[in-house]
Amino acid sequence: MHLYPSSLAALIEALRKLPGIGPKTAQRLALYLLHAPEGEAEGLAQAILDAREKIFFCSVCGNLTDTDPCELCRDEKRDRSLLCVVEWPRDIIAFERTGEFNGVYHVLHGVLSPMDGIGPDDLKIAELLKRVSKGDIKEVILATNPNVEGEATALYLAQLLKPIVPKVTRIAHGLPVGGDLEFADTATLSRSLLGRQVI
Amino acid sequence: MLKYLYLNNFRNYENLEFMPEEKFIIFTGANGTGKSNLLEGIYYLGTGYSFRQARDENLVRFGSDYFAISGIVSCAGVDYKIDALYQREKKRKIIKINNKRVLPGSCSSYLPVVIFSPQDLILIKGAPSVRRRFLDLLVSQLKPQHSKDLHYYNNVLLQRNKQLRSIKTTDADLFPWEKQLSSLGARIWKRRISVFSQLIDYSSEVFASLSRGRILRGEYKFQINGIKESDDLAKLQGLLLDALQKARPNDRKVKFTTVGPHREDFCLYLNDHEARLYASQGEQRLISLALKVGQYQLLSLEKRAEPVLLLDDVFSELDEKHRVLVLDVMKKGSQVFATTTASFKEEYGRRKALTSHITMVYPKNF
Ligand SMILES: Nc1ncnc2c1ncn2[C@@H]1O[C@H](COP(=O)(O)OP(=O)(O)OP(=O)(O)O)[C@@H](O)[C@H]1O
Ligand SMILES: [Mg+2]
Ligand SMILES: [Zn+2]
Repeated sequence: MHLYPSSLAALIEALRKLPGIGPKTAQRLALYLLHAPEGEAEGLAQAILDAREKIFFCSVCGNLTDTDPCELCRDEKRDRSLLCVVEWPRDIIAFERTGEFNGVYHVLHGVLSPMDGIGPDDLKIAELLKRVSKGDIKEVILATNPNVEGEATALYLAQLLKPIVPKVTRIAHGLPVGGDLEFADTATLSRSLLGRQVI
Repeated sequence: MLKYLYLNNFRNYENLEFMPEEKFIIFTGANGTGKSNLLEGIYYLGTGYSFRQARDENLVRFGSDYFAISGIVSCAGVDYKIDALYQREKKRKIIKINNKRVLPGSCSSYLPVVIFSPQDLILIKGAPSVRRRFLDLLVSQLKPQHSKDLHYYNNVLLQRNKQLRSIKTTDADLFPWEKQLSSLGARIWKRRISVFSQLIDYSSEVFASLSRGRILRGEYKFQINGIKESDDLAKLQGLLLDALQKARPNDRKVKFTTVGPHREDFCLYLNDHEARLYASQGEQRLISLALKVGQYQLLSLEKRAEPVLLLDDVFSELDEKHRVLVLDVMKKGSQVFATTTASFKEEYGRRKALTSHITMVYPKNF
């Protein structure tokens, strides 16, 4: 059997570890990068290093950012009394695309799932409670995914938040059960935000 | 109605393609030639599991590592493509309708199957899970949302059970799962109760006609006291949530969820005596037959998809009386696939080879 030279094999192996990439795709990408136009591979390598170095989590909301606090948290025009709790930074992008929301966010970085060994301590829940107990928040919108784990996380948070926040709401289930916020179209997401209900 | 079937590495079939040419087809052949396997493939497409209590891995052809079943079904005049794929290594099951992935069980309303087989007796004698599965299949065939609710209910159940295993579990940790179990469970209850009472109405009528007026009764057994069949969803939800919370200390001890629709059963009575304990073998066979005919009749009322009848070996199992009944049901025009080792005279109908060992007979007089 003919094997690739070791540096090429190492590249293929590294690419294969990326989510959504199987052995065939990894091979194709590696061979492409080898023969890519001048500067392209170097550009990619530099972009990865830059992003790794400059991007971190916002100390206020947990969003991905290159300044602290992040752009959204610094924006004076946003309503700081309205807080939307999401699972991942990518959900913020989805909500921002709807243009319907002018409050601020809090990223949990996951959902409760005993099956995966994820409990309250593994999520940014303590940070959320600290933020909320400062007192200027009038409404918390629980915008976790409408699946089993997202719903459980919302119910768990509702128990903790209701005694300390005037209003706790859950986005409406215009979303298909088992649907993902990331893939929901903008119209569905706007509707789910407007139709939110007290939990 | 099934218009096309393809079995790939399923049981003894490496590749089998089959397009039913008539509504009534009898598969004839010697023992062990794959007749029941064929019905099993059709049944799997309509339910997502085997009717012979076999696991998915048993269905993979010896020496292979996956099986695939494809079918085209016609449902209220529209064709749908259904695909089922099982990979043994990954223990992964993928079901698709029109190339879109769906939850297992979603096909039951597109291809509603009813099986009559020697195994039907297990409905009376078997464990509660067999009866739950039968009832839930019928409910899913009638109400597509049911299979989804069951799927999510089971997912939540796994999460609560896992949570129970952790020693530092608080009530607050259990609550989000209990809340969801109660809303899904209430919907499951509501549909089960209504479908079960219709099923029993039909089945008792069938049973009475088969047994010169003897009385078959059925009762859905709630594990929780104080439930009335007329209770609305909110009430049922409240009762289930309450029961789950009361069960916490015990559930913590045994480390699983001891109350809820996933633990329940229904009971059948022949002249007021529990059939499982008192009915004779022949009576039990008759009751299981009545349940299946009841299932078939309920499905026939539905305008959406015609039920497909699968008759495995019933010609040899049933006496004349039952044979007439089954044939009567078939005359209503449903699609029927039957198997038998018996051979038929030429004038019985046209014949065609399916494999080198199985011959299809299309009976003339239907
Ligand atoms: N996973 C499998 N892979 C390959 N062959 C299998 C598998 N499972 C069962 N078989 C074989 O399929 C054969 C046919 O089984 P099937 O139950 O369909 O027979 P049948 O035609 O219904 O016979 P009978 O008339 O006795 O009921 C059996 O001989 C069995 O060995
Ligand atoms: Mg057989
Ligand atoms: Zn921020």
